[in-house]
Amino acid sequence: MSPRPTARRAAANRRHPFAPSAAARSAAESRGPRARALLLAAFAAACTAEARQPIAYNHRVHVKDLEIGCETCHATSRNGEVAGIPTLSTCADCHQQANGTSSEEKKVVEAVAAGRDITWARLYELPSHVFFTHRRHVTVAAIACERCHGDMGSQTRPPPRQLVALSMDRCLECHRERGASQDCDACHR
Amino acid sequence: MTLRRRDFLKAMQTAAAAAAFSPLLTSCRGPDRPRSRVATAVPPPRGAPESWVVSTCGACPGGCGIRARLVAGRLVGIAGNPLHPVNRGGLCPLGISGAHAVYHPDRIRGPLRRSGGELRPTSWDEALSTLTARLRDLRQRGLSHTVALLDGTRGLSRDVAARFLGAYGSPNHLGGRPWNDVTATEAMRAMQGVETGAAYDLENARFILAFGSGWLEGAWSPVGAARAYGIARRGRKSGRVQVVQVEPRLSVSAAHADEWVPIQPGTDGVLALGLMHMVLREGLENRQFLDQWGFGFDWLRALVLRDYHPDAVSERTGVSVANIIRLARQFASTRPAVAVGDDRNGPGVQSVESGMAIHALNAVVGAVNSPGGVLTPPGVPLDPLPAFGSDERGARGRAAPPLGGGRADGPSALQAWLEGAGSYPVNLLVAYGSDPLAMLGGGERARVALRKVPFVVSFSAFLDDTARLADLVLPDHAWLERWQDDPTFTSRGFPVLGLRQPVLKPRHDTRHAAEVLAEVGRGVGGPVAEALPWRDFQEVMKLSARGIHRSGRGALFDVPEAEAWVETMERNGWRATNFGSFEEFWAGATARGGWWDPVYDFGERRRVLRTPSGKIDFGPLARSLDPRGTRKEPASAMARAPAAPSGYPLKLHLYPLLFAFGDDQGPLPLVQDLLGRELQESWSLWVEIGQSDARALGLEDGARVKVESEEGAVEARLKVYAGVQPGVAAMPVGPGGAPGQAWRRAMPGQAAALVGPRHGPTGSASAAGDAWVRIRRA
Amino acid sequence: MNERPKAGPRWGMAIDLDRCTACQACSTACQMENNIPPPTPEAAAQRRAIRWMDLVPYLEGEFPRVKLRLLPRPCMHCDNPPCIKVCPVGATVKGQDGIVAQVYPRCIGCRYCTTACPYTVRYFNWYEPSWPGDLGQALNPDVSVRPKGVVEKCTFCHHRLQKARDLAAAEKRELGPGEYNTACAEACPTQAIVFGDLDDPHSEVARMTRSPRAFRLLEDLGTEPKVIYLREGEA
Repeated sequence: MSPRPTARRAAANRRHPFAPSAAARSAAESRGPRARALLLAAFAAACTAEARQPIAYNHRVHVKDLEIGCETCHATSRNGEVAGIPTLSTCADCHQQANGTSSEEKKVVEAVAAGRDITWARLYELPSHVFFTHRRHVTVAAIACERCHGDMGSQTRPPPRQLVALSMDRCLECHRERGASQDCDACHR
Repeated sequence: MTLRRRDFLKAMQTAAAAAAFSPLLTSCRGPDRPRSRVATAVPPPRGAPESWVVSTCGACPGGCGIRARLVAGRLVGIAGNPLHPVNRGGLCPLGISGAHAVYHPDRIRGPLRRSGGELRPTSWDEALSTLTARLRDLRQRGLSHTVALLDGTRGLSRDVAARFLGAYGSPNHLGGRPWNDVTATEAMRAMQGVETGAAYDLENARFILAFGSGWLEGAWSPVGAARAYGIARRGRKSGRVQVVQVEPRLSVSAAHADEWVPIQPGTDGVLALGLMHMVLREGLENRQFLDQWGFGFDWLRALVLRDYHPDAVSERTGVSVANIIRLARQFASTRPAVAVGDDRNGPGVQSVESGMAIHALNAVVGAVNSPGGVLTPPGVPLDPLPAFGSDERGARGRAAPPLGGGRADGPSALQAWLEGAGSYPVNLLVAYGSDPLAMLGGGERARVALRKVPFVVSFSAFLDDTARLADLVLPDHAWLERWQDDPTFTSRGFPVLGLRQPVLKPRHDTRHAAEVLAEVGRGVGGPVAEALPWRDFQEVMKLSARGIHRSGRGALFDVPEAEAWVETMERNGWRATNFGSFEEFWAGATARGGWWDPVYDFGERRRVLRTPSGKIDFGPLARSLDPRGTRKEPASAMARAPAAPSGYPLKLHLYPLLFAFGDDQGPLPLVQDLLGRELQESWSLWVEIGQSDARALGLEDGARVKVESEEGAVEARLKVYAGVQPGVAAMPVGPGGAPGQAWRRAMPGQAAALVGPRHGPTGSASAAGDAWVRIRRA
Repeated sequence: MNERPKAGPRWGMAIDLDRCTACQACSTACQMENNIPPPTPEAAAQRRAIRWMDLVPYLEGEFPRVKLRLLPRPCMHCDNPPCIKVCPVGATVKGQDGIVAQVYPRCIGCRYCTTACPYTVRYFNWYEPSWPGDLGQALNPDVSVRPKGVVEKCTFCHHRLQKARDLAAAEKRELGPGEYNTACAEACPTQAIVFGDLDDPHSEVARMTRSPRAFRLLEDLGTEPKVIYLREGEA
């Protein structure tokens, strides 16, 4: 027996926050193997949940070709708590009219014309018990954006998940390296 | 089923596997979702815009300054305003919980109208046209005087209500709270002819003799009183104040005094006169002050010396003769000393007679209108609203006999009137900032009386007791959502105008009650419409604030160090205003919280003494003690101990809970929980008796008991408390809460049902101090 | 954890009982600031209401010689804390500036710490926290919302310290006096509660600890509490 199906099945038996409820599971199970397979696929999808953006924003065009800095759009990344997702007015500066032939850009132009905010999907959302400010890390510690966010500048399509998986271990590693506080209450609240 | 080892191990493995997936311990390689499992409450997003808005707390009449913190449009915190002179940054639990009052689940979300026996939502147009039609009809039929308005508000909203009734033609503008304007305020009205109420200069007193309950917990301004206490204890160079608390039970205030003097309920005035007797006997009175400022003192002196010998006083009050002599000496020889008799928050425990006795005691040692004594704060120099015309109907209506006068205990006066004392029916009742049903005890008797009114309107923001039986509910904004003026004074007698501005948009379909009154007035038409042209309450506030600007006095709120500067400048005849044009004044006042004038002129004799004699008039007190002027035998109710009705052996002492008096707050869960903390009680009504009484009754701490008086009965938990003297049963009282609300008010108002309605402003024997109860197991 | 030479502040609190009026503004301010779920009557009846800053009554004597003392009691943030010694998972730790912190994600709810604490300042979340109606709108974004099953206690409002330090670091300066204050001290109408750096000889809190009226609770246990009380009454 190959390892993958076993791992999948074992995973399916355990409680997971993104898993369908026990009720849904048992309902599927009673309907037969096909339904079960679908359910497992859904589960796998949930576990490796992907963020889908409304517009396939091309970072490379803006960052590498047009040399727009991170802070131009992520306006509060230097002095704020969060980096900030660009507002419609930021996009509107250049995209009042189409600058190219991309169908994705057309979506932006339409949104600008209608004054409709674009609802980007968040990729990074820290739990409420973590205290973190971009200000401290970008301005005071002078850490480059790529260190935690990966080479977003080279991405031609929005990545479905974080390029660099953020975990507490990673944060602590860097804190150790750089001599920053490792007290629990420096970051937990 | 026995648990086998195999099962146990399997269970452990599964548990470990489950724990491995615990949301708090893993991170899936995906969008990092918030791990909070608390679905009911989600904090605002990180990095959301934050702002602070300055306003004035409206939870009680204290008028503290606040700063409200808003994140992403949500009110997430309230702190004190350090610039506001009343509280200088401090707050009390009511103000701090203000956000809960805004987001409370029991808020009324829109106008309600009774149809088919139930309150159903309606539109503002419908509601207002219903009310207007009724009012027009009554006026047309010459019955405008049968409209009564219970008003628990202050400042300009009170003025608007007064204008409405005046132009409409009704003399029935009643106080909205059962313990409004009694004792100290009434005493000063009688003896000095002033209306403003007493400011106790506690910061500068060296000896405080406090009568009655809760001066440190409630009083005119809870935070103001507490602040003055803190300064008088440890915040000044002139030494630590001595505090003696005279009270039937060991309250939180008494616990903080240097000495607690237990006294029989309702006999504070007797003790005051007993102390006065000793002061006079030993020649410790301030003769110069009495000669210069007293009128009719000889008569009072003769009565006191004759009738209030320490032996008689000791018998009446339960205070030993030795203590009476000692306290009198302490009070008279520590200068400045002040006797605090403001029982404003109590349900008339003291009569006005007691209040006058205490005020007279202050006068005897020269503690009236002097540093460390009882001051008469000047009002805020607001412009009066423009005069309004009248018509014949209005004049006739106003001339009808009033239901109780604006100064009486409104709810009680109303109940007495409805129960038969009245010469005409009440056809329409408006409750504005007032919950009369709860204040009268919320029991059957009060309900029966109020049901005699065919149409009841409430402006309450919460479904309080009165709103529940109302025919029309026109919900006001929460205090954090509205414009309002808050004229008050500090303990040093400085007038203060706090400004209340909305810190967030109204959450529900509510309207500013004063604006609604004006609109209804315009609907009624005629002189009422002319009297109330304003659509926006802020307009009214600005109109009257021009008076402050024109006076050129005082200054906008500033840091404490600026106070001395303003005072020095003004005393030397200069202006110290930190504003130029009126626009600057208004902008500055809303940004900083308000305006004040930190100068008290002790030489303003004419302002402070408005009696015919131009002096402190001891006549009303003397007359009250000796009404027939026989000078032969004591006739005052204070001199005789009322006999306990047979079968009711315990004397009832009702005491107010500070935080139960929030204006239109709704029951706040944090406040509910802290009431009674000192007794480790909370959330339900209790009755306190001493150990010896409990033993005699065969009852234990925590027993469910029934407390009965001749007027009514309530159920409560028994609390055996060493701080209650034998023969006394003490119960907390506060506005009640109806079942079905998210949280009941901790003290259902039933306790007030144990005493009958208090009669008139000078009623003495009818005060709650003379209620008797019995207690038995429920 | 991370033992560095102590150069920084040592945060502590002084409470002057002669100024305190037992108004409980401190308790309420703490509850609102720290997203403590409002208690229900049932929880209160079981003495499970959570009050990080509690007003503790002490009643002694019999009528008429009765003495009632009311003591505001936060976490003592001991320098030698018993709670830290018994925690099996390292969920409670003492930071280098003296604050005894609670790390909610680590807590497994065994409640050893609540038993070990002689001051009973620790509270267990027996219930899922809930804010009926819209009350959850008033949550403070700077403080986490704890789930059922973890222990919590007074943190000296250290989320405010985090923010203040962040601001100071961004502005390239030291933390100024008065920039970091607890919610209880801020709300107190009589300024009975004073918070600050015990190691700064010029701070108000340090001055108060030198008062002849100063005492600490249960000093003989060797916990070295950093909350100092000033006795009421004449000095």
